[in-house]
Amino acid sequence: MRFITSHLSPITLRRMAAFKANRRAQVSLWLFGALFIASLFAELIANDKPIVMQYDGQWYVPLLVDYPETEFGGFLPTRTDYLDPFIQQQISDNGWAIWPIIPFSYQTLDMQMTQPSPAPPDSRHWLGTDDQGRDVLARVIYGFRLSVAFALVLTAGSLVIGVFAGGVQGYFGGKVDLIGQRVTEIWSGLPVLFLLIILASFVQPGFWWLLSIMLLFSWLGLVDIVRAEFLRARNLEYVRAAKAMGLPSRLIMWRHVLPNAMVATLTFIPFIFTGAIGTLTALDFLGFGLPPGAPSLGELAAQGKNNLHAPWLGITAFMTLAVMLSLLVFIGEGLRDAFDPRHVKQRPNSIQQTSVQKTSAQETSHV
Amino acid sequence: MSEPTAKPLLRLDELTVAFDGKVVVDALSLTVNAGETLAIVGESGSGKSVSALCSIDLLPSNAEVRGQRWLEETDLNKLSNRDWNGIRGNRVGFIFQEPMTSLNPLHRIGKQIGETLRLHQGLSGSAARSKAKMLLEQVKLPRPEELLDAWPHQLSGGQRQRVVIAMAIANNPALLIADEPTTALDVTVQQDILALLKELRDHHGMGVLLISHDLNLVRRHADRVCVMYQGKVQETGSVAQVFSHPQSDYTKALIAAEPEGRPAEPVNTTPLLTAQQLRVSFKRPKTGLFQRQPPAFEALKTTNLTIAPGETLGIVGESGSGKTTLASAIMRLVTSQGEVQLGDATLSQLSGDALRRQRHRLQMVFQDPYGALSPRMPVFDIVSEGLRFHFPTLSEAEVTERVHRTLREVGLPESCAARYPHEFSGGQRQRIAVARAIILEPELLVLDEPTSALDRTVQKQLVILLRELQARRQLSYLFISHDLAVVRAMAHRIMVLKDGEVVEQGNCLEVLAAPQHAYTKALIEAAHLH
Repeated sequence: MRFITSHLSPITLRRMAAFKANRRAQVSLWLFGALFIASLFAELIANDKPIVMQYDGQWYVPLLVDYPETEFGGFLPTRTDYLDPFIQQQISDNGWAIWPIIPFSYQTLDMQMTQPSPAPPDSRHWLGTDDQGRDVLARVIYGFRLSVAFALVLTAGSLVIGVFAGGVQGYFGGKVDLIGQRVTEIWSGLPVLFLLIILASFVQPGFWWLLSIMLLFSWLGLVDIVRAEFLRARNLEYVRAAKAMGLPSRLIMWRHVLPNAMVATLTFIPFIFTGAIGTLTALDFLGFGLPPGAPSLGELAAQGKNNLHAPWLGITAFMTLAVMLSLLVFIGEGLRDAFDPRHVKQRPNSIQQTSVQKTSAQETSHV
Repeated sequence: MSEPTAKPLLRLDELTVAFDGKVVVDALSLTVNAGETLAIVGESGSGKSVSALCSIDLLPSNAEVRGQRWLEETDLNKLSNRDWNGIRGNRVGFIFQEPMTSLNPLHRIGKQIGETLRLHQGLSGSAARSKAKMLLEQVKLPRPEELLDAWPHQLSGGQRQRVVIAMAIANNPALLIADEPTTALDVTVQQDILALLKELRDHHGMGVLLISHDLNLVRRHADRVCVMYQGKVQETGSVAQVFSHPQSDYTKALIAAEPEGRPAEPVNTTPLLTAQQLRVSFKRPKTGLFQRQPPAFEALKTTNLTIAPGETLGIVGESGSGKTTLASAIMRLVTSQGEVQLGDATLSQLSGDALRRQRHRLQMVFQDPYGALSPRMPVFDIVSEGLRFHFPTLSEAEVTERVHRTLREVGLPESCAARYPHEFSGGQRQRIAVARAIILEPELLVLDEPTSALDRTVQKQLVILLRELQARRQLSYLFISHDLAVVRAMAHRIMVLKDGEVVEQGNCLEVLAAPQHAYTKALIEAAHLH
């Protein structure tokens, strides 16, 4: 750790310190990170097949390899259904198996239910089942992963496009700005939701389909902020100093303007991120989102709406979304403060600076 | 104190102000008598503004105030918030430093003056209007009737400050607090404003608390002076006494901080930089869709200049005279007509990459030490950036070595390379800016008001540094300033600009000693050179 930190620049270290000072953000980051990393290994946590097993003295890895049922004394050469009581009996007679904590995947239909689905929480299904007899907890874990991954990719994509478009418009100004602004205005006038709904009627939108369509529009929100920051920054003296030094525009934009424009941009990222999760959930809720069977929080919420007698569905969906979005907002808040130089306390050995505002007022007065 | 018979108007006794435990003003005691001007003098951060704001309770809530405050018979410590509203703007008038921001841009002048009249005297409608007009006449604004309906942005800085004064004196205050009232104004305007304040003081019998960093102004316009340094009073006394026999070391240093000395004479007289028929004009925006394009605004009229190696050409003028435009035109940062020749390169014919490759030969130092350094880069990166671009073949070790050498040359320790600009004071930042410019070994350095944002004592050090650099490296300077004292200490020749036009030029000392043009005379008179 010492080795890594010694290679970071002091400003990064200071930002990290500022972030650490914000307890709520730090706790949220750890929690969210733990949840996300755990959900990345969802297959090991919630799955309908054993992770490793031994049968007749031989090793099997059902998690990675599909074995026909005949291997385990079944009758048909089809994929093994490890939840089948007959197979389970066979395994426990002839060897052993390590199961994930939750022995159901997100699309496993539980055939051994004692109650009609949706079944309330019990020791077999910790959060109950949905109306098709699928384990809710397993679906939440997979749904969480999918939502976060979707939001991450969407945010990263919007950031790249938005910062580029806004930066170019703001930095060069003039005609570039004028035309760029009009184009983005027209573009942002397109109704995103209708486009998605129309699209859903003739293709079955998958993860990447939804992502690319939303990416077409999600960067628009960033353009105005980045453009305004670049417009302001291009006349700052240190940018003029860089110009006088002979640096080319791309370096000036990258090194001088962008880092200072990023604070305003960063404050916007949590909104894009949570917005992306919200939009995905909403589309799923309406039935225009991910294909049927995909683990999605929106679909769970829709089920909760359709099965008001099964409150565990709605409550689970609500709690998952609420916790996820709150954690994200807290992290975003902490990040924003850490990147804002005004929130960073001065080092004790730094040179004393009193009444900065006053002096800066004096300077501007001589212009 | 000096006149025991005079009635004390404002009396501060052992006043201590602390922000979050940090003492900013330490045991300040002073009195302002009716009919006199007391000046608080000090450099930035000395606590002079805080003292003034404290006496009318305008400090932010995290300030802790201890000590006695009396306004005539009123104990200011015992006042409630409501009582304060009856004091501020009524018995105490306040003039802020920045006339650009102390007027509300969305209200007409008449309305803003009328507001104080309505609040404290209950005047409204035509009564307020005629009183406001009278006040504008008192502060000697031309065409007061028209100005009542003007917007703040239609007035010049000096006119705005007059409006602010009119508002401050609207209710015949007993005490007028003027916090750097002229710092934002041109030198010739400064004199008029201070003369006006003096006249109003005598007319209304007010006491004036004048806060300033400018010793020249204080010497000419105050009766008594109180010198502050780092929150402590260094000495108090009549102006004549303090200036002729300063007691404390700090006061002595402050009085001696006038830039002095002369630059070394250049050896070579072959011009390094030649600018011929240089002209800059800006398009004015059309007023309406079908209006004809208005004539272009000529920011700089046809100008010729030459600078020899090791020579300093001083450019003098007030705000709006085109000094910075001239610098930008020579730096090729704005579009201009005419020819600029630097050594063997004709800069005005170059563009794009070819121009960028020449830029290391002429560098610029900007006015604002707070804005000219990227706040997110450590000093090392700031200084080395141009070097890496212009000399990409240098190894990492060579770059480090040159950065350290340059930092030493401008009088900064090597250890500051790893730190960030906000950790430095204004003077140190300006040294970093100089280091960034000279590391490229330029032949010409354009200095755009490099000293104007700095305190007097720091200015002097920077002037000395610049002269040393010039002698050592045979640097040519284009030195822009409105401060004649600094120009005299820096420049071999000067050029006086007014409204984008050169009104006078020649040898620096000769021009300052025997100015030909009326405008130059006015500038020199206002600057009060010794």
